[in-house]
Amino acid sequence: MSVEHMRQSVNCIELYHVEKSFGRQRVLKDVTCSVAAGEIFGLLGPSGAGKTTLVKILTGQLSADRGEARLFGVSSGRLSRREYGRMGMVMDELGLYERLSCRENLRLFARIYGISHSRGEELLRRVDLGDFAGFPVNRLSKGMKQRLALARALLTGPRLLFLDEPTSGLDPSTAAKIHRLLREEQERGAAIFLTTHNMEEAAKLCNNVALLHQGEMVEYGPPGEICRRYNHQNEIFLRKKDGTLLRLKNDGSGADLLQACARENQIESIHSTEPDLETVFMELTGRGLLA
Amino acid sequence: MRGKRMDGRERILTGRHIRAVYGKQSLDTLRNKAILLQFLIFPLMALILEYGVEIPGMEEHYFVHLFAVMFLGMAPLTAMSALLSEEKETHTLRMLHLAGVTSAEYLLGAGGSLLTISLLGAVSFGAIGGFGGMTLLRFLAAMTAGIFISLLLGGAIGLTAKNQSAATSVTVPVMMIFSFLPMLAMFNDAVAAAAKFTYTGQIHRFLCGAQAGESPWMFPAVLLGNALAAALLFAWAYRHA
Ligand SMILES: Nc1ncnc2c1ncn2[C@@H]1O[C@H](COP(=O)(O)OP(=O)(O)OP(=O)(O)O)[C@@H](O)[C@H]1O
Ligand SMILES: [Mg+2]
Repeated sequence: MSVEHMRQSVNCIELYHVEKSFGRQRVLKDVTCSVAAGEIFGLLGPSGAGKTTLVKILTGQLSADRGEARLFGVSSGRLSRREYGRMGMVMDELGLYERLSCRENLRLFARIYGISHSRGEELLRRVDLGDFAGFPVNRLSKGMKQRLALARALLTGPRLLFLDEPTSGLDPSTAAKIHRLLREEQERGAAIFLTTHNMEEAAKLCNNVALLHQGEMVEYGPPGEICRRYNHQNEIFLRKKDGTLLRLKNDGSGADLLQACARENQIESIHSTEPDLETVFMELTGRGLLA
Repeated sequence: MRGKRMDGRERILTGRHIRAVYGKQSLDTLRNKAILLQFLIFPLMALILEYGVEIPGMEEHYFVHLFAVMFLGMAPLTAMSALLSEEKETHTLRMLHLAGVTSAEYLLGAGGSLLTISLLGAVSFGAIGGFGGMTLLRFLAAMTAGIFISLLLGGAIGLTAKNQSAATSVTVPVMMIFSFLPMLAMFNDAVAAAAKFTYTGQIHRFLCGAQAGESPWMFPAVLLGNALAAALLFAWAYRHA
């Protein structure tokens, strides 16, 4: 087996030069990337960048005009029950039965997949909806619905998860709960493909992110690495306990001063000037992620 | 086993999928007050009027026949079209598809559930009329045929409509025509002439035994014709949805 072959066999998702237009509007331009098993991949971009469109192409709900999207080595236009059984998804439209209870929603899908109902109960507890199992969906809050949709996506113990803005509009503690669940799934070996406008979330959670701007992937890589790459000033901000702020070049020239402050126990805080993802995105595109 | 494909070319039916959709649909209908009301109101009206109102010279089981035909023209048709358009609008249908449920499996499961509920309604009309033996069999057979045609029509509307309100705006006039023509036919000869060619009109005449002087083939011919037209409409909608 060639090295190239081995690398590909662990990739759950592969995208090669994917293009998509709606009428005259080019929504995706030459998108290429891959997501490996056990990896959390974040697709970052402002509203209208083409994130949902890419997820729909990957899950076979839309076809690409050009290029190729592969899941588990199968072209996304030709996914069979086998592949669908190995993936779970939470789309921006959750698609829950509003009049049915949480339990009944999960039961329906458990029956479709031919798996035991107890798996649904277990997942309801895992997403903290155990006490609401009998509640009809139309009486749940947004965050609860989102967690129920996540539970449904996890029914089959998928090897690949698609999450279109899993935490948008959620309070920080609910979002943190979802993050914890996603990490657990990652440890189990699942690959996770999520979209978000929240760069903080992406920086904390993702092994790799891609910045999508008007359908173009303008940056790709581990979030920390991207930020360091755009650290043009390469300086250190040092706040002393007496309130003075020092700005040092990070090239060794400030070493003596730094050492002196440390020795005198004068350091209040140290920051490097590396930008966050939001700032990198601004630099690349001239606009913010939330704009 | 061949898998599900997004282009809808999969063929194999999985019993488990049909049963799952059937079960969810039965639960959902019981929770859907607007739809449930339609299934209850007509038998209830028939019950009250059959036993509560006595008009001299009125034919036997007048209200049972009248409301039974209104029921079959209205309840299955609206339920089916509302169901399909709602599933599309709320994206639940897509989730079923992505879980491997084919369109045919879905329609069999959901349609089967509505058929069961409609048949329960038909049986209750039979009980209200106190029908027995051949009369009951004839009654149920005619009702079943009518319910089936209504489900096909409702399905065709639901499949083509973009959303629920679009579906309603088409469903209401269609079901009004089919449900009320038999009643209006009693007051107007021109309407009666037209009603003869609708399945609801024929079923009403059949139930009332009002086919004197007509070819005995008229009833099966109109029913088959209507069923065929509904099936073609449904097949067309299915291909285009
Ligand atoms: N079915 C469609 N027909 C025509 N245009 C579409 C369609 N779906 C999406 N678009 C267009 O494609 C562009 C990208 O849409 P998409 O939904 O992928 O954005 P997004 O990044 O998911 O945005 P958001 O963060 O708001 O969800 C938008 O300009 C949108 O108007
Ligand atoms: Mg989106």
